[in-house]
Amino acid sequence: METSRARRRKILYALTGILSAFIFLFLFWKLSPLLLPTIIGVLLAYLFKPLINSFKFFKIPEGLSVVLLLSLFCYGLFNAYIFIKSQIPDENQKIELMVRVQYKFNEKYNSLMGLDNDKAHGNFIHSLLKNEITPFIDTVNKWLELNKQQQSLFISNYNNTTPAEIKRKYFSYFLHNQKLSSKSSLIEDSADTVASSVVTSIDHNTSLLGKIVNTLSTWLVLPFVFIFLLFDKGKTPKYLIQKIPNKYFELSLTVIDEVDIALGNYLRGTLLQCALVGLSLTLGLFIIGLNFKVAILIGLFAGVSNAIPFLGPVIGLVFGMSYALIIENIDSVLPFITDQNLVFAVLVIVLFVQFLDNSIYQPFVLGSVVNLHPLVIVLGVMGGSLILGVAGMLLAIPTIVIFKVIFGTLFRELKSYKII
Amino acid sequence: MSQQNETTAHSLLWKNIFHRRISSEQKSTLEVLQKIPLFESLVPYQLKLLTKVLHTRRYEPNECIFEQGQPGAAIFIIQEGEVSIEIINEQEKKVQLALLEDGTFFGELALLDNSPRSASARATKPTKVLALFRKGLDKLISSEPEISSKIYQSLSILIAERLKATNKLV
Repeated sequence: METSRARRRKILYALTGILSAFIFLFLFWKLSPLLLPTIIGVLLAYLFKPLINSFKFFKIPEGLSVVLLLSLFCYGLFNAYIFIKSQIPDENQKIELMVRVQYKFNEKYNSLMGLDNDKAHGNFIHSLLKNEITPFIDTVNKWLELNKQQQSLFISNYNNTTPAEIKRKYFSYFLHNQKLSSKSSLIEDSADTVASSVVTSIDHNTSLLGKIVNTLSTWLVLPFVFIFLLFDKGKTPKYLIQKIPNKYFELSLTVIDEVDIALGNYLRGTLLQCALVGLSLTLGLFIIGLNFKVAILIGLFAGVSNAIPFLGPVIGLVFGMSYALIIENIDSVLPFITDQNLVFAVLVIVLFVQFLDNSIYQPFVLGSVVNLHPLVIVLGVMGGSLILGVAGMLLAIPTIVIFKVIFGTLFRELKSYKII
Repeated sequence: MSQQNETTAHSLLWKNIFHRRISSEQKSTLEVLQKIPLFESLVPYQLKLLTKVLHTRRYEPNECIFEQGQPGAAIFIIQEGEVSIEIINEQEKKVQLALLEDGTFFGELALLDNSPRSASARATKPTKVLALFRKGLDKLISSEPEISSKIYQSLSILIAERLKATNKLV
């Protein structure tokens, strides 16, 4: 009687388990766009949970502290969005920027290679690297080249605005670029082109609006996860712990706590490290003469992307050097920095910040929490980019660290509890 | 008479508004905790906060709660049932040191560090215990330092008393 009951119970459990696994996999597949916002919501809640606990120390009610924290978070996010949006150029500014970048890029290249005048044949560096570097320069020029619509927009914009000195300068850059690209034939019917560009722009905006609505509806899950986890007073973990068999109860709680401490230290350490890198770069770039707002923007991007090993510093360098390339007038507190050597100054600052990061910030803030082999880091970042793109690159290392800490702690504790 | 009824109704109304109802399970947990010497200095409000970091476990007769030599991570409080504390002696034989009933606790040294358990604990009846983890108590330090300091103070007094008793025997 008991044996048949036990058999029936086992069959029921197995069937329920298989059914649940299928439902879980189906939902995972169908709801995969929600995965990333959910993960970020969980990570944010995890990062901010200790702050809620410290609010308790000042006798602030938990509900109020969550609302306070969320308001601060939304306020910060909104301001960051407004700031970044104000720094992003519109269509006309983008075209102007492309003209300036192409001109300055070729100017710097020619000066470095000794190709300053038309008759020059280039210096030693040019003869040495000509075959390797010319295809790259051609690719960059093709990428920065204005198409017909953009050319007509630039011209109409130039004609419509007061021809100030600076505008004249940019137009000379434009003409120089046109001569270089040997595509100086301008648009025959500029009115038609402008009209079509407006239509394209409207279409583009409509599809952009759809994209924004879609993205927003997906990312709405983030604040919900964030608030739910912050309000959750440990009931969910307690419920899950109740399901653990008695034999593994003490062991599992020990593992959960150790993992919690290690991961908390790692995530909060990484956040602090990224903030320090961003701040140092902002200060460094400001000191060498970059506009303060631009320095903040580059510092912000470099700080966030610093969470991606190897790639983060490169992003900071590319942003900084690109801006240094096009800047016309600099106002540096260091007298020896001019617009001619600003690119190298940016390189020095980025390298110095990297040195600070590797020798002070990382050892001081992160300690030896993450002892990952460089090959694991490279493969992890590449794998992450293949699975989830840029977000995958950002999340790759925390995911590897989470698994490393969980399995490392689990095996150590299983041994100390004499289970394995 | 009617005035008295009205007053009772009023007091019940205010009671319902300002006093959150507690479940019968939470009530029985609080009753058990009040009996434990480690928590005797805690006021009801603090005991209620303490219940949030406690875990309830049920054990079948003869089921092991923890084994001698395992790292200690939690103190156990018996809410219902009976627990036998046993050690394996030099002759490799099981010796019962104590038989604990509801309202008592064991494994308290685990609140200090994770040194190995000096004895095993086994349920002899269907048993319900409350487990308080060292890490759970540590977490209370940041949010409710008074609770954890009172518990650690009581634990120190308990250990000192045991030491004095042992010294007298020597």
